[in-house]
Amino acid sequence: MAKRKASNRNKNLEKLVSVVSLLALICCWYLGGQRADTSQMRFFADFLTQGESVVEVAPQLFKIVNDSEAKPQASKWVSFGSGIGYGGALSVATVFLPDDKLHTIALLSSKETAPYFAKVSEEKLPNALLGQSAKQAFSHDGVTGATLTSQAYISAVDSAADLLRQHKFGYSLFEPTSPWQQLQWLDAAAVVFFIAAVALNRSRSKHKAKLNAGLLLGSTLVFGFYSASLYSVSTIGGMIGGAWLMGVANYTPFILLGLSIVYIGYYNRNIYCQSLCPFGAVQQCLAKVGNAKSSPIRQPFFIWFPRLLLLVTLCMGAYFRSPAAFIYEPFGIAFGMIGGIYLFVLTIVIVLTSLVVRRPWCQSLCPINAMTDFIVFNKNWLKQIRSQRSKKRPHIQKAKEA
Amino acid sequence: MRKHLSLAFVWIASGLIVLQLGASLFKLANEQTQKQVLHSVSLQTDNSPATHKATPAIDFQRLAEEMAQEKY
Amino acid sequence: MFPQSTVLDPLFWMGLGALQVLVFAGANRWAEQFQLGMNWWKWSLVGGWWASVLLTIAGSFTLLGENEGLAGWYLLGFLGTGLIIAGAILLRVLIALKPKALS
Repeated sequence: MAKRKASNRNKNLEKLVSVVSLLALICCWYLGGQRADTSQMRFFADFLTQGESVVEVAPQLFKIVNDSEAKPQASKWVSFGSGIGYGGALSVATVFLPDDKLHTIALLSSKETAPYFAKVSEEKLPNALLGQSAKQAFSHDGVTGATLTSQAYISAVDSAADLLRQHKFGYSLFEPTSPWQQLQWLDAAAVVFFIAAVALNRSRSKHKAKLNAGLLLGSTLVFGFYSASLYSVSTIGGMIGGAWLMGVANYTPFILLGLSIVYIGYYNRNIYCQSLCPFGAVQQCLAKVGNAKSSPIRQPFFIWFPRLLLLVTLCMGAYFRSPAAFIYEPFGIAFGMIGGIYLFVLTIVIVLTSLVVRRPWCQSLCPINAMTDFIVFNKNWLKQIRSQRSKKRPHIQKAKEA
Repeated sequence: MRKHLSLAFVWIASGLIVLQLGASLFKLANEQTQKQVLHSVSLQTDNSPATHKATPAIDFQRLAEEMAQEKY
Repeated sequence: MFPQSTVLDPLFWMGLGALQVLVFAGANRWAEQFQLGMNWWKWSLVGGWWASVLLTIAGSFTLLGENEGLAGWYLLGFLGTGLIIAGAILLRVLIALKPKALS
């Protein structure tokens, strides 16, 4: 009896935590919306010299005028543009000289993961765009390993230049890509792989283990090394925040995440982990090499800590409206060699531990576990509420009839 | 042994994750309070005359004495 | 090797030298104890692996000494991890290729 009371109390505590988590997320989202976007004001404060002021000639297009001169001379132009990157919109301010050459590019806001833009600027892509004329379309090769961010940046500059083109010369060269044009073969492959995983998991074939290994290998090559399209906390944040509605450069992680959530809703399991996750596949491969055995930590602290991490990360992503800025999974390092020093050390620690402990990241800190637990818990809770209601209904029906 | 390794792994990984999140938070919070834009590049249009920087005088005698005193 | 101190250099190389003596003197004994049935190409593989480990340590610590801290740690991280995994694979291969005991 005491045990049942204890487990009931635990369940109630978990229900409370679940509700509080959702409230915290909503609260952070709301507070984030209160933050003013002062990036354009900051740009003007930085780049206008004394005696200069701006005149808006078209939406997002300004002419710089000198207050002291009686007649306005050939003037510089300021325009704002944006492109769609990995994490969402990337916006820039551009200054064009009177001869239509690009003089300055300033990055106003970015939803990319920090190391990706750092790579773009290290490879001097912004500098390569300077000096080009606004009369022609802006284009350049993307930076290897940061192609989506590079393309977003170039696209942003081109869209800003297009405002000047339209106003001064009357023609437009920039074609805004609709978000749906970003869908590509990788997204179809994601669906195909997922269907294969479902079919495999529900089959009773003798060769299940070998087929699963094959599926993992394929997934690692396609979604790991080729495109680094694994889903992570930032994908969850982006999905909740609706970034996918406003346009992202790569839909594959969202498709995989969405399909996983649907499957969890039906079957209480996340088959992505066992059959598709490239990072899990790498750990499993190393486990085979080192003859590793599973060794889960069952202390309550280590069950709740990953959940807390997931909540905190989602809240920060919601507040700053930048889910891609708060990643802590080492997927970028593992498959793209991009990331900071902490994630680099974390990757090495995980890789070496995988030789001795089976799937150490998966069984301890992976946020996808926490997400799966959360969905399953709430699904069961809703089921409980529904079944309680349907039990009460017959009594209500009888009372009505009487 | 494996249990100890597993526990050590979780502690180290947790520490690294907290450091990483802290660094990201610090960076983003700073961006808000800064008065400057995130990143900018400009064409160098003005040709300022190359200033002739005077080479600092080196006291070679003193340099030789100091090098002689260096020990490994 | 260690730009911030002058005593760590000789200590490090003395330590590594001692390790080398143990490795070279003991390798044969270990192989006999585990009955690995070593021959010339197995020894070449092991020798090549050990040489790579030494070169990686020497290379990354030299970079650290040249105040190229980031390069040194990244080299150690990438190559070091790769070599540890290669070592594990090598061990599995050697154990798998153990000569079967004649009954």
